[in-house]
Amino acid sequence: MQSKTSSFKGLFSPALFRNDLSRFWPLWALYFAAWLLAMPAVQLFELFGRNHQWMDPSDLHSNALCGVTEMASSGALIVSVAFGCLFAMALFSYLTNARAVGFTHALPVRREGLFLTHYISGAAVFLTVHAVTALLTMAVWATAGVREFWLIGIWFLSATGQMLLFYGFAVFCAMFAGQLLAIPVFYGVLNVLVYGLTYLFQSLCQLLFYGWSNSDIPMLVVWLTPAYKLSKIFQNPWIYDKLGNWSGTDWGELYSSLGAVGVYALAGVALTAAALLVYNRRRSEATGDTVAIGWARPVFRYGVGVCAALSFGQLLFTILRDAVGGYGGGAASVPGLAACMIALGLVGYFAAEMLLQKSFRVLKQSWKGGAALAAVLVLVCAGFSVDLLGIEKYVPKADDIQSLDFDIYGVNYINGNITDPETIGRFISLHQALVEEKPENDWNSDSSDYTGLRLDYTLKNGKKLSRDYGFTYESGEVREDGSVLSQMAVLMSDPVVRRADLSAQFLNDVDRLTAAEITLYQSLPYGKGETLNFDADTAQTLLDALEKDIDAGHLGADALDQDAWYANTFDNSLTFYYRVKPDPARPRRDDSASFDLQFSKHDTFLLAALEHAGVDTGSLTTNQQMNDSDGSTVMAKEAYAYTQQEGRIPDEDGSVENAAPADASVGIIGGADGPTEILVASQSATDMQES
Amino acid sequence: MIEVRDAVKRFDGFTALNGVTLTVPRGAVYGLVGPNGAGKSTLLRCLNGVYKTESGTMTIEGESVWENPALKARVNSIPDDWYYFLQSSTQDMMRLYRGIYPSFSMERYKKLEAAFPIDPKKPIRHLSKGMQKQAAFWLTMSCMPEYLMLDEPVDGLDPVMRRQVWSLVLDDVAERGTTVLVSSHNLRELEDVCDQVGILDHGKVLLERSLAQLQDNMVKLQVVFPDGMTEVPPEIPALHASKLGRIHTLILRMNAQRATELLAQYSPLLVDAVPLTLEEIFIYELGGADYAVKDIVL
Repeated sequence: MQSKTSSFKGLFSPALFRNDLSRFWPLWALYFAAWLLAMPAVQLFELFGRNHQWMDPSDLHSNALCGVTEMASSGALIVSVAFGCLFAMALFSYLTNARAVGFTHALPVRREGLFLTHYISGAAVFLTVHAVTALLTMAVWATAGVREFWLIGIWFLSATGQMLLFYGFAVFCAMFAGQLLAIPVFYGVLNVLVYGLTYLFQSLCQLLFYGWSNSDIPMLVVWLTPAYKLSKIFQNPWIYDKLGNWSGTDWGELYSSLGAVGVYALAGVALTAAALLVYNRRRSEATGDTVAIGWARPVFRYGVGVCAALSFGQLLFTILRDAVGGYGGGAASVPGLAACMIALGLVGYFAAEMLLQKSFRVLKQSWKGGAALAAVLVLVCAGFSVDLLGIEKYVPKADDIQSLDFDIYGVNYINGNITDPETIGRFISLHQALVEEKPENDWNSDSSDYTGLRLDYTLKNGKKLSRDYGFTYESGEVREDGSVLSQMAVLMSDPVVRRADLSAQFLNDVDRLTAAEITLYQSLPYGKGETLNFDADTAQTLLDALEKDIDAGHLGADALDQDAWYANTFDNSLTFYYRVKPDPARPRRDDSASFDLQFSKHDTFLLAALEHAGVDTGSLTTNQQMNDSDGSTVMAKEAYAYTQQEGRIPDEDGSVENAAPADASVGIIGGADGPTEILVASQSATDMQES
Repeated sequence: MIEVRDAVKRFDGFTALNGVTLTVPRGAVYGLVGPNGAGKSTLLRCLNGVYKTESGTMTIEGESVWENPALKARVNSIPDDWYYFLQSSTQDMMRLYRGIYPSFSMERYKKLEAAFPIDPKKPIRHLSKGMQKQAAFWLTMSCMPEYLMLDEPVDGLDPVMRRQVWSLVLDDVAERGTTVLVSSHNLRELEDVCDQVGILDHGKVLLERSLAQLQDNMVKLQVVFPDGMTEVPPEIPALHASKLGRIHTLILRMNAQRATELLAQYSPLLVDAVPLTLEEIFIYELGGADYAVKDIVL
C-alpha cells in the first residue's frame, strides 16, 4: 500500500532542477551566446555599424526586418535542430550510464517527476534565453527607431515553437537510446526518415517502373520532415513598392508560417508526452543497450536492414550497372537489383543485430530473421518486376483528369498546362503508346537524337500522377505513321499545345505589348547586325500573325526532326517587349519583360506580317546557314587558310600586303555533344573578332 | 520492517532473483551474503526502486517501494559503485541531497566533517576511491536514514575508517533504530555487526537466521577416536571432515550437544566443540548447494 501523499509528491524536484541548471551551465551559456550574436548583436551592427553611415534609413529598416525574419526561419531552424538535441543529450544522459541511472532512480522522486524536472529545466532555459534575447533586440530597435516589435514577437514564437518540436523530438529519441551517441544518431535519422524513405522508394520505382517520375514529394511527407518544411517558412513576408522600398507585410505568409510552427510546437508537446509514456516503461537495466525499449528492437533491426537494402543496395546496383553497361546502363536487371538489395539489406540487418547484442557472433541466433528479410525483399522485387500493382501500365482515363502539365523535350523545349479534354485525350493516347512500346535510351548510338516527355496529371479527385519518359530515336522514325514519335511530333505542333506553351512562357504575363525587334545579319560570317524595331501596334500585329500560325499548326512543325529544324528555323529571333500584369500583392521594381520567339519558314503568317512591317524576310538566316557559316568556324577556317597560304592575316580591306606577321589562334568548332574540329591559325581570336 | 516475498527479476532471459523471500526486522542489521552473481546487488537495487520486479512483493513498513517517493525519502543506499556528478564536489552533492531528502541534517553534516578528512570543495573525481566512499557515507549518514542499504560498504576503506564507518552506522542503529541491510563478502566484518544473516544463492535465499541460530545449527568438532579407529564412521553425517595426526575435524549440521551424544557411542578419547565462523557457515552451507571449493590440480 502506498502512502496517501506519495501520488502527489515527487512530480517536480526543485533540487534536481537547480542541479540541472548549475551542472550544464556551459551549454546554456552557449545557447544564449548563439542567440545573442544572431539577434541583438547583429541588429546592433546592422543598425549602428558601418552601414549606418552610407545606407538609406529605409534600407536599414528593411534590412533589420529581413534579418529578424531570417532568424525566425532558417536561424531558428538551425539553432533548434542543433541545440534541441544537445539539450536532450545533456539532461537525459543519465539514462545511458548505469551508475547514474541507479543513483537517479533511487532518489525519492517519481519517474514522472524526474522526467518533468529534466524536461522543464531545458524548457526554462530556452524560454528564458528567448525572452532575454527578444528584450535586448527590442532595446536595440527602440534605440534605432525601428518600431515593428511584433516581428520580434514572431521570432520569439517561431524560435520557441521550433525548440519545443526539436527538443521534444530529441527527448523522445533519448528514451529509446541506451547509449549517449545513439541519441543524436536516432534523432538525425528519424528527422529525415520519412523523406529519405520516400526518396529511396521513388528511386527504386524509377529503376523498376518505366516512366516513373519521382519529383513529386507528397505534402504529408513534407510535413513529416519538419526540418524540410520549416526551412520553407517566412520565406518572403515583405511587400516592396516599385522602388524596392518596404511597403507592407504579407500577413497571409506570416500567418501560414506561424500556423506551421504552431502545429509543430503541438507535435513537440505530443512527442514529449509520448516520451514520458516510454520513460515510464523503460527499464533501468536497459542502460548501455543500443535500443533501450524492448519492442523497438525488432523495429530497429529490420528497419536498418530495409534502409540499407533501399539505399546501399540501390547504390551498389547502380555502380555495378554503370560499370558493366556504361553510364545510364540501360534498363534495370531485377535479379541484379534484388541481389544487391538482399546483400546490403542483410549487412544492415546483421550490423543492427550486432549493435543490439553487443557481439559479433549473431549469425547463429538471428539467421532466421535475416532469411525472413531476404525473402521479403525477394517478394517485393518480384512484385515490382511483374508490376503487380499495375503502376507502370496505369494510364488515367480522360474523364478523371482535371488538367495536365506537360513538358516535351525535342530539338527545343515546350511546356504548358492544358484542360482541353480532346487534347488531353491525345496525350493519353501517346501515354498509352509509350507504356506499350517502351522506347528506351540507346546512348551507344552516335546518330540518335533524344526526346523526353513529362506528364503531370491533376486528377479530379485531387490526386496527382506524374510520369517521365525519355528515349533516343533516329530522325526517320518521326515520319512513321502511328509511332510514338509521330504522335509526339503532331502534339508539338498542336494549336492547343503550342498556345499553352506560349501562354506559359509569356502570354499569361502580358499586360500589354510595348515593342518588338528583330536583328538581321548584314553579311555572313562576320555578321554585323541591323536591328529593326517595331512599335507596340506592329508588335501586336506580329503576335496576331503568330497566333494564326499556331492555329494553322505551323509553329513547331519540325520539333523532333533535327535536320529539318536546322534547315527551316531562323537564327534571328523575334523579341517581344511587354509590361507584366500587375500583382497588387507583389509590386515589381521593374514591370518590363521580354520574350524571344524562334520561328521558322513554316510560320507563313508571321513571315508575311514581318514583310509587311518592312523586314526583308529573304535576309533571315536559318540555323543551318548560321551553323555552316558560324562566326568562329569561318574565322578559324579563313585564318587557317590565309596563314597556310600567306603566313599573314588579311587587313580589313582583304589585303595581305601590309599585314603584320600573325600571332597564334585556335578555333574550336562544335560543342561537347557533336563533332569537334580544331583549327590553328596565326592570329589571336580577339584580333579576328575585332576585325 | 523490510519484507520481500517471492520476488522475481529477470534480465533478458537470465533470472537474477528467483523467488527471493526475506524479512529484515526493524532496527536490525541484516547481512546479505552469497557467492558472486547470487543476486545480492540486484535485490538491493530492487529495494531501492531502481529495478522493478516481474513478480512478488517488496515492501518497507507495508508499503511498496516502487515509485513511492515518500517511502524512498526515508531510505538511503550506498551502492558498490557510488555515483556522483562528474564536476561536483562533496559540497555540491550535499546541496542536492539536502534538497532531495527532507530529513537531511545540516547539523549532522557539519558534525561528520570531523569524522571524514575530506575537503568538501574538492571535486569528488579527484578523491581516491576510499575517500569517495567516505564522501558517500558522509552524505548518506547526513540524510538521517531510517533504512540504510549498503552494498560492499567498506570496500576500499582503510581499517581505521572501516571502524569509524561501522561505528557511525551502529550508533544510528542503537540511537535511532535504523534498519540496515548490508551486502558484503567480508564475512568476518559482518560477523561483528550483523544480528541476522541471509544467504542468497542463484537468486534464492537459502537460509536466513540470526547469527546465534546459525551458529547453533552447525557445529565444528575436534575428535580423537580410540586406537584402531582411523576413519570417521560413515554413519556420522559430516558436512566436512579433515584429519591432522589423530585429530579429526568434523562439521555437522546439528547443535553441539546432539553431536557430542552422537559421537559418544564410539567412545572417543577427545570431543571438543568449537564455534563456527560466519565464513565457515557460508562455505559449508553453500557446499551443500553445490558451491564448494574445488580441488583442482593445475
